[in-house]
Amino acid sequence: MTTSPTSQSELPERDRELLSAYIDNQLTLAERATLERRLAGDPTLRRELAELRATRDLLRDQPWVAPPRSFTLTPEMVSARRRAFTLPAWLQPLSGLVALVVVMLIGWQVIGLSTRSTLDNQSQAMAAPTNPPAAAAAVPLEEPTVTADLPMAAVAESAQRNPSATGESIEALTAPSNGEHASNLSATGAGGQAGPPPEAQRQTTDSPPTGPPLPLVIGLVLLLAIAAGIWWMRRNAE
Amino acid sequence: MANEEQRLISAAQAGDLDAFNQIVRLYETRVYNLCYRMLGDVDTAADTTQEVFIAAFRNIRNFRGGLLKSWLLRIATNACYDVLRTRQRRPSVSLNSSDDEDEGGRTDVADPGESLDDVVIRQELSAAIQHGLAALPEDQRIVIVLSDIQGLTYEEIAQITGVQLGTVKSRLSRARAKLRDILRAGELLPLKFRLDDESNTAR
Repeated sequence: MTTSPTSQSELPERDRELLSAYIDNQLTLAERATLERRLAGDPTLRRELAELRATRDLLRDQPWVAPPRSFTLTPEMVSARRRAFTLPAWLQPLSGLVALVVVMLIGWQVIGLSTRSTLDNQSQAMAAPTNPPAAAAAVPLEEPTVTADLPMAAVAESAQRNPSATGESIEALTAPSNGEHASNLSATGAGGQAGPPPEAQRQTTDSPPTGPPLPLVIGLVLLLAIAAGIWWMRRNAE
Repeated sequence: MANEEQRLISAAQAGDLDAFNQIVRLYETRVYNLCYRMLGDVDTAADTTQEVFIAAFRNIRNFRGGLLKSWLLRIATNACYDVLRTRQRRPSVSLNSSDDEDEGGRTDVADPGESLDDVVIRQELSAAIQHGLAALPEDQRIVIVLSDIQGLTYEEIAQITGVQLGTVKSRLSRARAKLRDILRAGELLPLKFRLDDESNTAR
C-alpha cells in the first residue's frame, strides 16, 4: 500500500470521464466500442477502470444508515412553523416606502435644525455690535460699518419671518452704548465670546412653538396603518 | 405503488398530516442518509432531515408532479448546502471531528447473521468512506452520494442539483478519482478492500 496516486494523474480528464460513464453504462454505442478497443490495448486504462469501478462498488455496497428517530410531523411542529410571520409579497415593497419616509423625516429635522441654527447665528451676529470685544476697539473704523450692515440685512430678513421678535432685536441692535452696555462688556471680558444679550436669548427661546411638520404627520399615520395591517394579518394567520 | 403515492400526495396537498406522515415514513431513511453522508454528523443530519420534511409539508402544494423522491432530495440537498454554508461562516465544527465524535452514535442497518469481525470491518470501511467523502468538494460530494450511495441516474442527479448532464458526468468522474486517491493515500480501507490489490481491483 505504498503506491502513490500520481499514476491516476497521467490519464487525461476526458479519459477518466469516459471510464466513469462507461461504468454507469452512460456511453453511446460508438463511444463504448471505441473505449473498449482502447482498453484492450492499454493496461493503464484498464487499471484505472478497475480502480474506479472498485471505488464505485465500495460506495454501492454501503448499507443504509438507520435514522436515529422517526421524522413524522406532529401538528405542533407544523402549527409552530405557521405562526412564524412573514410579510406577504405585496406588502414587502411598503417596507421600502417606510424607509423613505423615515429618511425624509430625518432629513426634514436636520434641515430644520440647520436653518434654526443659521437664524440663531444671525441673531447673535445682530447682537454682536452691541457687545464688541475689548480687542475690537483697536480695529479700523471701516470695519464696524461693514459688520453693522450685515446684521441689519439679517434683521430685515428675520423681520419677515418673525415680526414680533424683530422689534426687540432692532432695539437691541440700535441701543446706544450706555453705561449698562459698558457693564456688559466688562462682564463678558476681553475674549469676545459673549453671546447675545439675555433679552435676545429669551426671544429665540420664547418664539411661539410651531406644529409638527406635515411629512411627520403623514409618516406617523402611514406607520400606524402598516402596523395595524400587520397585526390584522397575523390575527387572521393564526 | 405509484397510485398510492399519488393519493398520499393529493391528501397531503389538501392538508392531511397523516397522509404526509406516510410519505415521511417512505422516504425518511433515504433523506436522512443523504443528509448524513453530506454532513457527516448524526445530530445535524437528523435535525436537517426534520427541517426537510417540515419544509416539504409547507410546500407540498407547490409540487407539480414528477418524482416525489427527486423533489424531496432536492429540498434535502438545498438544506444540506445551507448547513454547510453556515458551518463555513462559523467553522467551529469540522466534518472530521464531528465524524469522529459520532462513530459511536451511528447505526448501520445490520445483517443479523454478521460476525463480530465482519461488523468491525464494516464499521472501519464505513468510517473510511465517510472520511473520504468529507474531504471532497461539496459539489462533487453531492453527486457521488446521489449516484453511488443513493443509486440515482444521471438525469435525476441533474434535476436534483440543478446542473447539466455533462456537469454531472465530470463531477462524478472527478469525485470517484479523488475518493480513490484519498482512500489509497491514507490507507484508510480495511486490508481486504484496498484498491491497489490487483485481486480486488480486477473484479
